[in-house]
Amino acid sequence: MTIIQPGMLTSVQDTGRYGHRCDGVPTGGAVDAVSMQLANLAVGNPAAVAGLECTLVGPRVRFSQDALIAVAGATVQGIEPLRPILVRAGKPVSLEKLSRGCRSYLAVAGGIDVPTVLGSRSTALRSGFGGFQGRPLRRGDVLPIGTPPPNPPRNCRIDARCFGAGLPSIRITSAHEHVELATQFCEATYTISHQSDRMGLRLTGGRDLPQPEAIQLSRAVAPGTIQRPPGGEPIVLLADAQTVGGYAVIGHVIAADLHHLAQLRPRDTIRFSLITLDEAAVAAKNQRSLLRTIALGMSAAQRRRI
Amino acid sequence: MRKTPIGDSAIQLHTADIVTDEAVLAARALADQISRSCPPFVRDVVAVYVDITVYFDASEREAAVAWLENALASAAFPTDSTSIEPSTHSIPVCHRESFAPDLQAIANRVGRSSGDLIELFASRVYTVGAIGFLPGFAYLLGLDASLHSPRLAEPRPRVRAGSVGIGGSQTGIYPSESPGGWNIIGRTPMPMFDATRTPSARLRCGDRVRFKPITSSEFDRWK
Repeated sequence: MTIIQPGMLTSVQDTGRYGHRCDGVPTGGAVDAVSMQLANLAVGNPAAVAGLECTLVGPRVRFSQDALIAVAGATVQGIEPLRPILVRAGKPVSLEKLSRGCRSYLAVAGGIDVPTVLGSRSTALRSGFGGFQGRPLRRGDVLPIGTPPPNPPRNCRIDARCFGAGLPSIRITSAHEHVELATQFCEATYTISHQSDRMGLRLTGGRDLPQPEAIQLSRAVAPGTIQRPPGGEPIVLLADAQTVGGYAVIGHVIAADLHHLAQLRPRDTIRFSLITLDEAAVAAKNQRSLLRTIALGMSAAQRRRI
Repeated sequence: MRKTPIGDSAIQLHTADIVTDEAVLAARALADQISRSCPPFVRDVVAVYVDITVYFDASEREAAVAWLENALASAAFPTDSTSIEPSTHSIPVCHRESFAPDLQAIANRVGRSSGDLIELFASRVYTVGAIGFLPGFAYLLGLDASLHSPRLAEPRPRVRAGSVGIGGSQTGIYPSESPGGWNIIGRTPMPMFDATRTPSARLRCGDRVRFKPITSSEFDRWK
């Protein structure tokens, strides 16, 4: 695959890098890991292989051989989502116009076959390793594609509506036994700041929140952790966030809703709602079952050669 | 041992109330014991000072909680700290002016020469309290109280890889180039992080560190 135009921020990502947080290595990976997995399933790949994450303005690419692709996440003008599309060798594919979301994911049958670094093909953009040469893609980059799965799906479409796009609010759990702070946090409406990136969403509109007690030494944080810097606006950590943080913590976005955060654009507004850990576990289980059901359906379809 | 949820996909174990060199090392040793028997749904076990965070797949929360209970019941804790030998690292640091933009300001504030400061800095044995901020960035405990320095009011947009800094009561080494707010007092030529190696970070929680002052020419010749 050759990059004709790189777009705003396009990088190789998979479902993340685990087992290295003790060395300070963020998990990284697709910020919207659900869309990345769905795009993979649509072309018959295992869910966790590497594809491209495209941000706000996607790339234009070309393949040297016929390739089966699918896109998921933000809507890409001219490409039907979650449907395998056969692209002829040499024909350019444009993912430049994205709408209804911030990030689109391009999966190619066989996956992007860059070397595995610390167990993942994800690009660690801040530290400059993994993915394609540890950096965002540029014009002229040529990415290796892996061996496509046998019997790739052809005429099918995954329905992603069950993942709850357009949720009225993002669900969080409280960081403290006393839920007052998290409850107050959920009362306001926030706007996504332009300073947001793969490390975190910066929110505006939370200035009047009470200041939580400062912490002395940094503590472990996770994607989804809602931090409150002293006197500043809240920050929700995303995939590339550092592994420890020194700011006070209000709560944590539940794992099943992280993919919704990935699709928020600067100036979008957002609300949060407080749920219990038990409710969060149910949401996580439901999401996993949905993904498994789709994966099983796709492999059955491949066996029947739909 | 107090357990606190970190959202729906992690639990933090609070192993001690006071952060000492021994407690940090004991927490690391316990984290090592726990991670030896990790099922696939447990993704990371991370010691940070005296807390251990166990990260897991949120859809396996119940299984993870049950596994953690078992792992803790069969772990030897508190570990006899005399039985764990921390690794000791000697890290060369060059304090030449261009590598140490904040050294003179600290010396002025403390009322000593920069040479005295370097000597004092190198006389201590530090303990790695945590790894984070950047891959391989070690937060080191044990800084002489007279050298404690508040972080810069305006973080620098660009701190070079290898820079040795002071932030509050801790010192640390930037493994890669990054924005940063610590007071920079020198630079090491020794790589602190290499993604192509396992483990990728040179230092681990509980390890001991000594800084060895080197000259400009030793820095340039260092391989």
